[in-house]
Amino acid sequence: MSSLLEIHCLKTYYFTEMGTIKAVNNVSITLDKGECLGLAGESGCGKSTLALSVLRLIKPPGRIIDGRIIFNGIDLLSLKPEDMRKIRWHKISMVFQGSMNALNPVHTIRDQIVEAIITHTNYSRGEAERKAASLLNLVELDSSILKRYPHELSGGMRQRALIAMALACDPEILIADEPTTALDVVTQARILMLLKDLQRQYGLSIVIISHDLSILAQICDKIAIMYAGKIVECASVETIYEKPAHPYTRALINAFPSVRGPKRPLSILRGEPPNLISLPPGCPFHPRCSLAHEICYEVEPEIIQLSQGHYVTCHLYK
Amino acid sequence: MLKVVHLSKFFALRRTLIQYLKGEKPKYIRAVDDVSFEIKKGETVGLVGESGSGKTTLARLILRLLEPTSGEIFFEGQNILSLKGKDVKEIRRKMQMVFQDPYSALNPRLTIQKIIEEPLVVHGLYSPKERVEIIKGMLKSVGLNPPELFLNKYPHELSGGQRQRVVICRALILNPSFIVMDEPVSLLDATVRTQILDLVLKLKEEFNLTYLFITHDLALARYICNRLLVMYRGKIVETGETEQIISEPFHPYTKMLMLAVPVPNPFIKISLPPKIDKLADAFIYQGCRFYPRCPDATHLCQTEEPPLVEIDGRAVSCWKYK
Repeated sequence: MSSLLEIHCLKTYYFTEMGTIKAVNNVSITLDKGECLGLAGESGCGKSTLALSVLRLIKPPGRIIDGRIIFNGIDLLSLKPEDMRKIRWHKISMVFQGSMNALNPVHTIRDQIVEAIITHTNYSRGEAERKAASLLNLVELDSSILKRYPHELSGGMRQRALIAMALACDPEILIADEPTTALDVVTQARILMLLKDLQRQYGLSIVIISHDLSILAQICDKIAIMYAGKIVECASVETIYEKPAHPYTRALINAFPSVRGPKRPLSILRGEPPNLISLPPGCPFHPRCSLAHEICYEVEPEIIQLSQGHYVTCHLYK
Repeated sequence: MLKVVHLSKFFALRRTLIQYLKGEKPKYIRAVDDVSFEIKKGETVGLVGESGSGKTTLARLILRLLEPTSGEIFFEGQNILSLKGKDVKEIRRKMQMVFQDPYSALNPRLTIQKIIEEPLVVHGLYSPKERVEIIKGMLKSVGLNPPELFLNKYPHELSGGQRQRVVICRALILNPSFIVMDEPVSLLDATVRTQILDLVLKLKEEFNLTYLFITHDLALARYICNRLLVMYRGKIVETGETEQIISEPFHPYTKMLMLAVPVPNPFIKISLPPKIDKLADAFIYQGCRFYPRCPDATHLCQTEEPPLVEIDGRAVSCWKYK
């Protein structure tokens, strides 16, 4: 499996009046071709900022200050703006958080998809219309929705329309940020299955960002757990579930109740997610960690490889 | 403690001028349609349904934030719909609510102390000095300790979890016996969610409370509720003990939900029945509400509405069960 996307030691900070927010703080991760990677973590952990950094969509006061993002052998951070534009939407595409509610309410779906296609390609209007129809087919939407307005569609249909738009230029990577929030259970299941089909049938590489480990367990091959701007653990989805190494990973997995199997108690993790402006010294998780010892308060842990493909950032495993 | 009898709430859709002149009758959305159930003291009953099922409307009806189209609501034996004036106020002391968004539930211009004090002031209870002590005690009970740290803060200075604790604190300050919670944790982070759920369970023991817990998340409902009411498009389609329903769902909709709810286990994959969406007019209320999506539907289901029948201490509304 070759790496399609390699992120090395990425740092994206927001320089605000109140202080520097270390939103992405030395993150390294790879995405293989045809792989589905899940970025898991709670609000403020940096997962959305990481995705936006890959597409170089970080606006001031945010700035990528260090690291490399290698896509197909090229460091995206070294590209000129006009060359980066050829990557966005064409090679790497994104469905943003909450975007299903951001569709233009006064334009039909046809207009919005066709406009997206024309903006990014050299297609004529006719070719773009045909492409739009085939994209809708891809996401299992009936072409009759083309003439509808966003408010006439259900949440699930809008989300599919957005996925269709994101695939307009046949990208190699699709990043989906919280693709199923605000959708009901059955619709959510259908969207997840759609993404899995796209991965399997078209070899699409996918990055899914979510706070919900349950949905990531359904379709991801690999999961990276983020906390306070760092990846604290990364492994195959089976390993994360069966052999979670980092105390935060364990707490997070046990924070999701299950409808299957016997009823088990949920583990309660005390404390609050950290303030990214004033992070404590040492490991950012130590204030909430039941296994923390002296070194955790002073020294930041390094990445340790536990086994093939299983990495953890924790002093317990030195 | 709470008894709801044949409760309905229909919302009329506005007609256009032409429709009005033609004498066309308005179409109605039957948000809550002939719902009956009981909640006994000490229970935590879960009301589970998707958006559009009517669960929030039902919550509002119970709290008398909306007036029903028909039906009755009895609270502690009293018909609360016939109450007026200060009797309603009395009921409001005993019935409280915790809703989804902890930010919009708190007045951003009041300090935490003032927010929690408000219900006490409205009901004319205690002297100002006594109130402060009571508030401090209650802040401790909801885990905001030391209380002095929070009294003079404003909502925007607190985290989501802390705000929801304030909302719960305010709901408890009048010593209610019954609390309606509508998606109280769905906007919170996963680890904060478990803290709040744990708090809610502890408070139930400490203050002898009865809960109606409304959510779309079946997994969450399983964790906290002893009994479930499953709602679909305004009707209750299944009721029963939580573990009974989870281990053996009767209604096709409940079955569909059970298969579609994701589990934090990569070895258990969700599955869905093939997509069935028979054409159905949203405003024709005939037959079973679930007919358009039901994989087991028969012709009877299209024309006749199935009654809620009791089987072994559970109930289901489906022609497969007679």
